[in-house]
Amino acid sequence: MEYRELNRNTLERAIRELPGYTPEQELWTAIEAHLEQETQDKHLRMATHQLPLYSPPPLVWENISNELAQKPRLRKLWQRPGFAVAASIFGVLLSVGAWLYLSESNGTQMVLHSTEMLDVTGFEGDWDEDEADIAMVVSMIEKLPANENLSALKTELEELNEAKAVLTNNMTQYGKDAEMIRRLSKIERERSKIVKQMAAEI
Amino acid sequence: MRYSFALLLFSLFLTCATVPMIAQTIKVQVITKKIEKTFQFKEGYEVNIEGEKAEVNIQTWEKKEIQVVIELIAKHPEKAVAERDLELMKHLAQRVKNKIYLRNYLSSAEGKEKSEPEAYLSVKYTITLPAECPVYLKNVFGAANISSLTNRLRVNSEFSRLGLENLKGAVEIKTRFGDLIGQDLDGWFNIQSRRSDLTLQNISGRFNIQAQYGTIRLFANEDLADLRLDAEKSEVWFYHPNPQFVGYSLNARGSEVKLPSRLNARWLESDTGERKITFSPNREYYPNVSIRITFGNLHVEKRVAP
Repeated sequence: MEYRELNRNTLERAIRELPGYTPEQELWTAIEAHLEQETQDKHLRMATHQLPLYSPPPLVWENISNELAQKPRLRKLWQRPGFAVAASIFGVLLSVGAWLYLSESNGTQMVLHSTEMLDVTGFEGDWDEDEADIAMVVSMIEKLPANENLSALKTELEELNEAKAVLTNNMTQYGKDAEMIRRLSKIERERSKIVKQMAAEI
Repeated sequence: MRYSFALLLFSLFLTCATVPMIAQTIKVQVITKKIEKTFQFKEGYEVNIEGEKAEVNIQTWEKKEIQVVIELIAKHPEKAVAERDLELMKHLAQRVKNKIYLRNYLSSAEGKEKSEPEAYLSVKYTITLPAECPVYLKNVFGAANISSLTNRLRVNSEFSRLGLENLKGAVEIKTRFGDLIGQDLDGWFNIQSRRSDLTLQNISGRFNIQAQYGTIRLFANEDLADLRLDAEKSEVWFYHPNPQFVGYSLNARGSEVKLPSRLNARWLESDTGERKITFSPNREYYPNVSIRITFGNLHVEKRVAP
């Protein structure tokens, strides 16, 4: 938005009278130290990822398994009320955390079946029928002395050729539909225009 | 009599032979895998979508939740084929730190190097989220409809139709071989468009548009603050309720420009054939419209209320 200041002198004087502040001396040192700390942390994180992994001997798992198999000594825990309260709070927090985690990670999934009529009129792929003629025009253009207009036309045609290839490849993957064929038709119309301009240069 | 009948038969044959296309419809079995998932929304979260052959609908609600419904659809005359090919479509809906990633892609069938489904496959996303949730969307070969967002939106769209409605905030759009249709847009818009057509209705705020090979129709309202448009090999229409109260800086090369007759402005032509015009209305405040058009056509017209 353009702004025409009617009282320019007043505005300039007011701006000049605004107080100026300089940052504290230690500010840049603090920023530098902070950045250095971040770099060190990053290196540390990278180093931890590169640490070698070792599998424990089977005896370790057996011992853990044996310990787990033993009955937990619940009675001792309840004999200390402090531990009991802490354990209860921990249990509640764990349940809430687990609920939050599971509610995000799972969700619901279902498979539905129905039938419908699909209009496939004009889905036959006739868009490659003139490729030989287009290639012939391009090969004739290649023999002409280069000029700015021709190279611009060639660049445009290459871009459209690439777009056509991407689009037809996607139709092979996902199947054809009216929207895709409409887009392809538009690309073909633009290609036709360029080929006609190229032919006019021959 | 016999001659007339033969003529009638011949006419019928000609009619049938000259009809270019006869409507063909087939009955297909539709198998849909529907996934529903809800994420808690917190400040700083962003929804990050990468769709392929996907129809993406994004809408808002008051809840502090992000609800995602993904429908993977396979259609084929044979149910078994539709069911088999549906399994080739994979999806991802997962939160990692402050980003909620939504993806769909085709996987290779077991034992095959490249997936070659026989069924018609498509994907539909319906996402409902708080208006302030930032969104990033990348979509190819599909369509998207986005409405009522107020924060940051980034879209990278190829071979897709993109519909925007009632948007505010900072919006960044890249579109290639697509169509962009917008309505009631107010904010900071940055649009890069190539081989795409743009129709933006009732726009206000600030717009920065770069376009090549497209048809661009911009319908501004009184609250438009700034428009910068650099259009190459494009047809541009700019409509404003009061085009004579707009400040213009127009630059045309190899292009036709049509301005309203009430706009008394004179063109300056350089030796290279580049024409320039600058015009400031006699007002304290006015929107600034800067348009550069190269090898195209520009029409500036008064917007008539619908």
